[in-house]
Amino acid sequence: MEKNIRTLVYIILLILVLLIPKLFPSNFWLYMFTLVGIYIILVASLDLLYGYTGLVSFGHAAFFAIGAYACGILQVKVGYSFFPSLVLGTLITLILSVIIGWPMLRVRGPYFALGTLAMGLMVTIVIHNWDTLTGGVSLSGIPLPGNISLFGWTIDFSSKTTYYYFVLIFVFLTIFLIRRLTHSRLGRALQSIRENEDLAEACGINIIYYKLVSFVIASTMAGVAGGLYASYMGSIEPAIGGLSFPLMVMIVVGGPHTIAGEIIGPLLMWFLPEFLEAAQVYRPLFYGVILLVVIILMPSGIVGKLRSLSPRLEKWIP
Amino acid sequence: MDSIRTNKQGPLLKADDLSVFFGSLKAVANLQLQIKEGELFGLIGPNGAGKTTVFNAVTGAVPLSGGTIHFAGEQISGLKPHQVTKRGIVRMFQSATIFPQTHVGMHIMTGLHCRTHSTVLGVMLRTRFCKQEERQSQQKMHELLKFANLEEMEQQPAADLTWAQQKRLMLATALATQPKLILLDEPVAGMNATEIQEMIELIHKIRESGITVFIIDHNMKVMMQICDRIMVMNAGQNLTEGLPAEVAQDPRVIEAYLGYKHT
Repeated sequence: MEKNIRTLVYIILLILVLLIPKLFPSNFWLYMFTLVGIYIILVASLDLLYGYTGLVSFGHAAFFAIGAYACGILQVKVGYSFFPSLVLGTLITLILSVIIGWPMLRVRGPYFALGTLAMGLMVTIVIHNWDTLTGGVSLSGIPLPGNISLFGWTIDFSSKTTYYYFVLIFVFLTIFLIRRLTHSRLGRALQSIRENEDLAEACGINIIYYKLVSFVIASTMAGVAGGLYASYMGSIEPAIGGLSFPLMVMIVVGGPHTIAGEIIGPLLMWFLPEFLEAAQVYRPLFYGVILLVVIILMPSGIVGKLRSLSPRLEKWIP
Repeated sequence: MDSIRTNKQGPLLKADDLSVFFGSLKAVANLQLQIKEGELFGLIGPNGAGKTTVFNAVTGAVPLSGGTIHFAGEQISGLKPHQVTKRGIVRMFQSATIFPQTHVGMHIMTGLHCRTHSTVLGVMLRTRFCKQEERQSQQKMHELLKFANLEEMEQQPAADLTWAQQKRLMLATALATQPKLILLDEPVAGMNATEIQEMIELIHKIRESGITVFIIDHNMKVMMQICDRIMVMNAGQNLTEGLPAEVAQDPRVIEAYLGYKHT
């Protein structure tokens, strides 16, 4: 009985998400929701790394930037269309994440976090200075995906509504894949690494291999988000490689290793400043204060706290 | 399918001139060790004798400073801990080191990891093989929970268990890796008499199932009662070796433990 009600509530929520272009028809709100969607992909993929594997990364956005620039450059400089660029750009991100992750994941704990911080800075600097390839301060003129004809329907990507749904498909796909991964042999290996590396290794788990798997999957997903972002914005800047800190704040505030946390984190951190007049100007300060309050009062994030209140809530909030 | 090889002639585990140094500290120095298949082998010695370091060396948790270790005829010194586990040696940790946030059932599933084969792509696509393997793992998990008398605890976070229950959980997790040789580091430390008896019964069951047991403990009564053979270490070296009764009578053992000759 309760399960049926729960399913019904989830379906209603899903319908609301699908109706957002009708409920918020203004371009501004659709733009905001689309960006939140891209951030959910980023935060969910970071959750695989932080929430499930226990790896703190201050460089996740570097792969967002790599994906965005790879897709952008392939379209602007090479002249590929959107979809081949997205596939190729994702592949480039995957390969780079293997090359970067392989040496970095050999260190433990805070050293890895420091390494990711340095990596994030380096990627931003390289993008900024390799101007013959990346356009330096900004890469502009990235086109939207071309129209697609399917069964007599034409999908027109220049419409904000279409792009919202387009991003939404990737959001669902990301969350679905992460859920499958984490509820499997692989997910158990990752969580055992988070809980106790020595014991995980004694249980026969190759921790470097599984950390790398987690890192590469998360980075590749961030690369996809980058590709979606580049075409949506039309122009990108090296500074997007420095967004890792807000991403960490979103997952810590939302609640790690929960689907709801991966969604609520970005939603809250995007929309709350919009409603608070002053917070827009002082956004970094606002982030700092929220982070402090959550860490002190709710160390497992908003969703983690809610889930811990009763076993019933734990069932209701995935 | 199994990579475990057995060697009926020689010992199951054999260490020659095993040495582990931490800087100038010789934790283990030129130790000789042979364990036969099917044996319940005990290692005793005063605190700081290097017993746990021997376990660490066998499982690959510390690098050797000298010597070699062979398992079932294959050299295993230099392998990483997870590779050693894959070859059939598993250890149960001294302190009940658990995955605190993780459910009891998940511990066993983690132990089963190295005997399952689902790939990243496989679980993303949820292939028939993965689903079948998952079902088999669940079944094995329930068998092991029953073995460790933790059936009702499956959904509890491991941090909520009692000390003795945590120890039994660690034992079941270790068994999930399907070892040929299990290393038990102080399995009965901190337990009351009933809990000790329960643990002894489990150890006997493990041995009856054909697994060789290598055990360290300070509880002499238990060690004398259950071990086939006992080796005594002092200051990183072999002191003596033999049947429990012989070892207990050895004046050198008494001296090492008590620091003076028994009169």
